[in-house]
Amino acid sequence: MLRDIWTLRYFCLALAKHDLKERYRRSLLGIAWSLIKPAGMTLVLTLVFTNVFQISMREYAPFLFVGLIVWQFFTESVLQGCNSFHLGGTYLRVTPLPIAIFPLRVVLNAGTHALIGLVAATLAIWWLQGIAHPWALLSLVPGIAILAVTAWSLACICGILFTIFSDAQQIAEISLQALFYATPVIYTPETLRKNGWLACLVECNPFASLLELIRQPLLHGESASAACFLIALAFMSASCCIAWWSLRRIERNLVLWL
Amino acid sequence: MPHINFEQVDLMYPVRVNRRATFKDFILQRMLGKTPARPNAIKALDQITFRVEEGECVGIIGRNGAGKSTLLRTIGGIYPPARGLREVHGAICSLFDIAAGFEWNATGWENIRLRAFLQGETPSSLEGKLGAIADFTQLGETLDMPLKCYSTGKIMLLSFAIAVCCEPDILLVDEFLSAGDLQFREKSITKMIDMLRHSRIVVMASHDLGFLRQFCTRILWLDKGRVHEDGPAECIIERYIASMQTTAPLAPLAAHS
Repeated sequence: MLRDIWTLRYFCLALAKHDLKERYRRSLLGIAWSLIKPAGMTLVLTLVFTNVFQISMREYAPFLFVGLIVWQFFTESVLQGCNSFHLGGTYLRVTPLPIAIFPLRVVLNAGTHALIGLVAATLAIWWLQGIAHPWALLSLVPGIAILAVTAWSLACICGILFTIFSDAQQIAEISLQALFYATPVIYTPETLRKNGWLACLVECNPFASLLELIRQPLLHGESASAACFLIALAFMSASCCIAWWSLRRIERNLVLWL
Repeated sequence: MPHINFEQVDLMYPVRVNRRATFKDFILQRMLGKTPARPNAIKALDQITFRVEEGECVGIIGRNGAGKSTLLRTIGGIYPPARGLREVHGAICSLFDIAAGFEWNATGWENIRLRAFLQGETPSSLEGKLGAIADFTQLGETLDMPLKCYSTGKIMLLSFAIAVCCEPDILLVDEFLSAGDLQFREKSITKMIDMLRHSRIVVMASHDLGFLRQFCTRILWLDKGRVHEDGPAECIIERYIASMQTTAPLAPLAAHS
């Protein structure tokens, strides 16, 4: 399957490029929206939560901005992944293809926005706080790779579920909303220390570990802990296995279901 | 050596009232074991057996719903057979549906690249073919415009040009060329004859018997998903026309009034 996807890499990249152009076709600001959206959210939430959590704006704003970029990447990948096979149906009716290419197209699209956001975040943090250990930024490479593969596998799983059950997208939306509050995107894990079971929930949440893979090098100039890497890798492996198994089961007959 | 070999191939097509199942269907059918009121699947192809060798041009005829398009899509590897042996050797290119496989807001050039990459081309291998594709279509500056501005004939021309310029071993055509004008038809026939000279295979489904008679050497006549007859074009087409004439003619309109 991976070899077939590699053969069609130019097709997948051309599709992702077309999607980006299509998304901002009549937009005045174009791809700049990928920065404006999380930056606007960061501004509003920072004004509110710096007063609620009693944290300095200088610390909280970069923390929130990075968190929102990563979360937006996940949300886009999963929700658009739901519809990815349906959108790819036009090509599946022309030629047999490895179907995982269509969730990948969605992840590449969301990934482009996330990368632009992360580059902007790095520059902003550099300007605001300075980066103590630039070498720690190298640990972003495996972190981003784990994040991307996890998002791809989740997009595949959601795409398959949505093809079989039309209710899957609504369930995904509710689950993501619940996960958003169970993951330290807008609050810091330290704020939960006093609340035992909630702190435990966040510690076990693999999405919290995935967030840390990006936050630690950017905000604290150090690589994420080995525990974070282990939890993230275990979650990635589990979702990859489920995605692989489901794709193998449904790939041949998917076109008949669309 | 390109060839197609089908032995006792069946294809089951799932029938769904709505496009997708709901949790209600899942609970009723899987968990409570209740059988649905309508059948779950229909047999679209029934024990299809034939073999096509290199250099052959085969036409597929039959009434509406006989399984012509389904057979072409099964040859193309798009539909999976439920039973039997499907053996196809050679790079396949298909012209099934004018609307399928195109992005309507992308320009002609962007669509050429997308469609060619879909057929496994790389930027370097495509570079040399872009000129030939543009020449064949003779669309000139129209290729810079979004596809939604194209007429059906122009889209057909573009699909055909991309398909044949990527030099497939097997070309599958579904009721596609007969809709084109005389100039397009002549161009496409010349190109396909050229393909056959290079020992390639063309399989086409059509209701245009004149076109099939002119171009095909062999005809597969399908009826209710089965191969009804398989043989030389002229002979099978004559029998097909005769069978059509023996069926009851439509009642004249005057009778209704």
